[in-house]
Amino acid sequence: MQSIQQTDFDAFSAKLACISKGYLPTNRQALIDPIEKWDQFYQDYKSLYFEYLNTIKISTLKGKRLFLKITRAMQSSQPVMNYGTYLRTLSIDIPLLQYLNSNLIHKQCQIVNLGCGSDLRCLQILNNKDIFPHVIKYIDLDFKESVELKQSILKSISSSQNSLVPIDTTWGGRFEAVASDLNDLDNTLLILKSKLDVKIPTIFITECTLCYIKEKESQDLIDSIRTVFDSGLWISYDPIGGANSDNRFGIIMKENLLMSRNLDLPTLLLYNSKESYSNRWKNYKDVKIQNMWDFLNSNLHPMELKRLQSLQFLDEFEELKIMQNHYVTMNARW
Amino acid sequence: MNAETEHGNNSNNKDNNTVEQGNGVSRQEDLYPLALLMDELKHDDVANRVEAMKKLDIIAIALGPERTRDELIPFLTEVAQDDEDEVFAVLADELGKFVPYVGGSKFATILLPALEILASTEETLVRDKAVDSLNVVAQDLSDDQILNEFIPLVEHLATADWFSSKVSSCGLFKAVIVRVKDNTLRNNLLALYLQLVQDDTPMVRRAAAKHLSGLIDLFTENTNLATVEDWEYISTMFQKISTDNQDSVKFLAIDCLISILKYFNIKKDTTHFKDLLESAIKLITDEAWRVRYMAADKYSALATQFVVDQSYINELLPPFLSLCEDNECDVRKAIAEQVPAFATLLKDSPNIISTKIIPAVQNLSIDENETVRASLALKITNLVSIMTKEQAIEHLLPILLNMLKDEFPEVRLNIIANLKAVNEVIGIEMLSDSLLPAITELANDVNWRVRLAIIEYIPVLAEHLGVQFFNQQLSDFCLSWLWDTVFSIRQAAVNNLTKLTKIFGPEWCRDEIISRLLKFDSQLLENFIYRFTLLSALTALVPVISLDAVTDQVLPFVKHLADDAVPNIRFNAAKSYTVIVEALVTKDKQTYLSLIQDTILPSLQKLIKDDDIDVKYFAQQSLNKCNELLK
Amino acid sequence: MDMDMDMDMDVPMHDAMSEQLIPTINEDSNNSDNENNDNTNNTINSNGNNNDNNNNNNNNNNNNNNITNNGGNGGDNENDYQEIDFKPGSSGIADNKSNKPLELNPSNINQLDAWIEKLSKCEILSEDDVSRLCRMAVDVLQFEDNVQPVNVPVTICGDIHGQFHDLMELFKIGGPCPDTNYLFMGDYVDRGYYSVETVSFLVAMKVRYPHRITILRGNHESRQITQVYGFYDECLRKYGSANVWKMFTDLFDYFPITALVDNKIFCLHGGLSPMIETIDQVRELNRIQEVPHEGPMCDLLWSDPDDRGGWGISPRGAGFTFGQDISEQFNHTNDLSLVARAHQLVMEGYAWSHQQNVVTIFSAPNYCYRCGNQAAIMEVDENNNRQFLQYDPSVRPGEPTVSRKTPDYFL
Repeated sequence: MQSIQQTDFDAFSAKLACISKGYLPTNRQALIDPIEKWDQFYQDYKSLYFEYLNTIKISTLKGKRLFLKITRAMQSSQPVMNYGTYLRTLSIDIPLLQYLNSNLIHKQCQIVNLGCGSDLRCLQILNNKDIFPHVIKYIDLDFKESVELKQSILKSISSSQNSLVPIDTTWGGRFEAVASDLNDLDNTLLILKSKLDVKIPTIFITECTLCYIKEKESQDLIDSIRTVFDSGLWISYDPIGGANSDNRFGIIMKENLLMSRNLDLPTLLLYNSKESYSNRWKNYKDVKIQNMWDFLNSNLHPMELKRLQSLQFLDEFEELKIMQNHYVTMNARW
Repeated sequence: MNAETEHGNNSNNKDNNTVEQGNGVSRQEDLYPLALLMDELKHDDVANRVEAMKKLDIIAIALGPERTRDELIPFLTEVAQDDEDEVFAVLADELGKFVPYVGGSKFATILLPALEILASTEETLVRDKAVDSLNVVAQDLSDDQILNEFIPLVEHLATADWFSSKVSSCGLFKAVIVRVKDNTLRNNLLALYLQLVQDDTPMVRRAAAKHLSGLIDLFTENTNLATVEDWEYISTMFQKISTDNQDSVKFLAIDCLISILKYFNIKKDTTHFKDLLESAIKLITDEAWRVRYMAADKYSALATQFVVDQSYINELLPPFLSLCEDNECDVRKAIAEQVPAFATLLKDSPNIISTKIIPAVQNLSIDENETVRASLALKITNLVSIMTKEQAIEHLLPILLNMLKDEFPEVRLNIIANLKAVNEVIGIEMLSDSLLPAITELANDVNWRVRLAIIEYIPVLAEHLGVQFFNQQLSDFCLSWLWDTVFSIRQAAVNNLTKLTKIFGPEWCRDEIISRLLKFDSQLLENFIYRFTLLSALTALVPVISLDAVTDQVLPFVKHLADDAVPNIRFNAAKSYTVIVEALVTKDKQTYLSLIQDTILPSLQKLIKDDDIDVKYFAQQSLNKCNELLK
Repeated sequence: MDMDMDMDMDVPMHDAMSEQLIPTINEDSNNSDNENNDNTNNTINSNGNNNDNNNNNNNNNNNNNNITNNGGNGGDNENDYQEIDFKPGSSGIADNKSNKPLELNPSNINQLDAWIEKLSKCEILSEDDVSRLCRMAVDVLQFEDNVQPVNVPVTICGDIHGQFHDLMELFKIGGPCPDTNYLFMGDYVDRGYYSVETVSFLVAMKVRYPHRITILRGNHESRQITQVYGFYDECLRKYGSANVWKMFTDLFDYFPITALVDNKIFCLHGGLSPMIETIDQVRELNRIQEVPHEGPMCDLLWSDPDDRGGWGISPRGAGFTFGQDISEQFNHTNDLSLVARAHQLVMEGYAWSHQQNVVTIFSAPNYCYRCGNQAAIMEVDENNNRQFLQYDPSVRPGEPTVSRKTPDYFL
């Protein structure tokens, strides 16, 4: 469990590295199909993340050490990782904003980030009430320790002088960070049902979350969300092991993480292809899945690719391709 | 800095004659190491701080015990609270060696505060090192120090809020438990340990369970110490551990159980054995596979503790057989390696061996999982030691033959590597028909490390098989490996020839190896790699063959290669000359002196004038050595 | 302690970037966002004035520390970070260049043999010894040609990237040097965890056996790239200062950039350049400099073959892609049978392209400890027969536990 929580700091430092090198934020012209409200969604992006980082340093007992770990990881992050983090972020944000912009403009909508860690999309949405007025509830869900850390940091930011987080860290009851272990489905559903209106369209985000959950537990989660909530969108991002002769990346990844981090990816080699990964949403409709290499080639404007190339030398394109071929972005409606 | 100045003065008070200047200088020198260390310990780069920490002992020696106690240790206690794990890890390690530097065991407790802090950090590695060091320091402490300073530290850690402190405390009881002679006090300590065994945090329970068997072993070493009350605590702890809701705690009960059994075996007290056997069987058949795995992994060690009564062993047979058929392949893999050792405990019942054990082995030998089969192959040949020749031929041989055909190379290799035992009982001839195809496949495996492994077993096989069989069946392989595409295989093939010659003798080598080598396919030799290999092989054989073969067969070939177009070949020919000369000179200098002077030296003289700088160099080296040998 | 932490943030990369960078790149991306000046926008200060070094350092450090974005904490950082002089040549290893190639004598042979023995156990040399080694290496490498002639037999190898144990595996497969002759086509450093040991070993071998081993320059043998991809950090970590990094990067300027095996196989790290039609044109380049960001020398180290014909823009941001028509023409013009190059990860360790006009050789198995690829080397015997040998990673040695080094993944 601890080893899974640690991955949050990997993701967070990767995101910060990506921001500090200028990959993120990017503007709507970056996309072949520009998306409305994109630029507003990304305003204050950099400030939010760095404020959060600096508050980690001062807000908790272990914060200083954590801050050090994150900043170190940030420094050593390499272009191939920055590209990947950039793509990962966009692969969630594009379907998210598309859904928010679609027929829902005047209706109500809820967002749940399962295994949220230190992700700050909640702030990007909640701080822009005028732009996303219809998001009536945003739930960040994770292990108890992660949620407590997040709450204490948000509190701490809100009591500082800037205006990035309001004094009321519930945004008038619109936001809640709740603790639950996703392996405990009954408890998770109980909480979700008590906090959300199951009749209102709800977006579920699982960004490198399902990969840490066992086969049965993750399938049960996917199936029950579909049953409990009337309608919504599921956005998921995860690694896949690779099928047949392409499976060495996955085998090595599984072994590396198990050996040096005691981190298990129980379904990496099971849901090893786009097909096997997305088949889990068989009761959903409009299931779309893409590996991240294809995502890179189909969503980004040539000018944006040029901009990315100018940020750092990417020394090895084949490596980027291998890695991005082993990550997928999936979204499905119901 | 004030403290330092004062001490500088104090220590110099004795020689009052010292002029002020001298005093100043010596003080400055004294201060230097500490100041330098402090500087280094403030360095931005953690690598520098780590390096500085590694030099702590030097600094402590420079400072002397008194100043180490008064200045360095307080400073380090500060550092222990504010740095990074890498630095902490080194500090924790270093402090374990510090008893002599602070003035011996009398002052050793001054090290405890810093180590206590380090034993409470989050990073496991730091904690472990701190605990190790605390245990080392504890050995030097007097009973009074243990009682008044060390035990309070243990108690403090064991009752801290942080799980990390509690985890560390579990590793410290072994330093004190048998040193406490007072029964009540020892009981209190065990009561505290029982708390740890029941802690809320699984990590603490795991640590407590892990260290319990060691504590029990200490009682075993000090047989008369433990009281009935002590044993009540231990028994309760074992009960708690073996019924823990976390597999990762529960599976440690196996080790505890073995330790408990050892104790009572030493005491020759078998009153509890019936209960303990029951506990054992419960664990062996536990529903959590990790627990069963641990039981399987320790099966013979566990069973051995029950030898006092053969009926106990018999009761352990059914659970053993069920582990052999376990659903988890890791469990089967573990038990497969235990088969011969457990079967040995049943050797007085040949019937059980043939009706129960052999069928289980048979199943394992065709297990769907290759690692299970490889694990079985590792020890299974040892089964012959409890069988008659007839039994072995009837029951074991078919299994071994079958395993020699296994599709997984490691299974075949493991069998071949352990054929010695089989050879002694039934003779290898029975196996040879299956052995050859097995070797052939391994010899051609795509993985070069598999090929390497089989080459390395060849000399052992050769010894068992005898020269005739070898010449007929294996010598072709041994030569063909010389032409492998991978250098390491060619090199192993060269070494193999030397080893074989030591077994079969120089005549065999001359007739079967050298003459065949020299007749080798000339087309192959157009590639310098194979000329090089041939040169290496012949050179390697020089020390183990007859001098006639050296002069008649090897030398002409080397001389021929001294004119090779490829410089790498020429300088290796030069190196070969040294080997040849050494063999000739040490065995029969008189006879061969003129040959060396007329043939080898002129050739080397020519090579030292070669165009290639490396040929020149190695020829000169060789010439120098030859001249030395001729002196 | 606050200060310490902020110091840890310090990536002195920009200091060198600012000096080394050819000012032409991506001026358009020098965006107006002032907050962005702590990113690696290569353009910052690209007017870089070498004399201004210390100032640059200070400024950039402050920018770096100022991760608060709005500058809140930036001001209170007293900057006592040791100032590094990134000027090419500042290591001094080439200050006393000889006018004739290094001659080996018994004493320096002993010295080199001792170093090689130490290095082959994956132990680093002392800073002083690295300095001695690099000075000797300058006097070997400065006399090699831009197109270094190499005789057959020789074994040709691609990228190593600090995977020291896999380099040792390579010698287990191909045979030890000097018994086997080797030609390495660059990229010894970065990415793997043992760049220092790898490059020290190869340079020591080069000095000891200059006729038995040839080491070309790769695009990673550069001051700029090594600051992004790990060699710089590794030197700091292993030696506590950038001195060793400065020595090696100064030495890299002397590495030959191409080799010609038996007048038939043209070997180089990257690929062809639109500005180079004949091998003689390579001979005319002034190679003793940092790898430029454009131009023929850059292209030779950065370009890639492509399925598309003609010249194309490289996705790497430097060099070009070239098609089969280009390779055929080049081989024809120069009477070559093959262009052998490295630079690209290929899953089988080697890959033919352009109908066997070009071969890519990559010798770092399981690249970055995560890609799962095989490695390969190409043996060319004295009759110009070629054979590829593929291999897998050596068994990875246990890494120290505190400084856990897991390959990066998105988690």
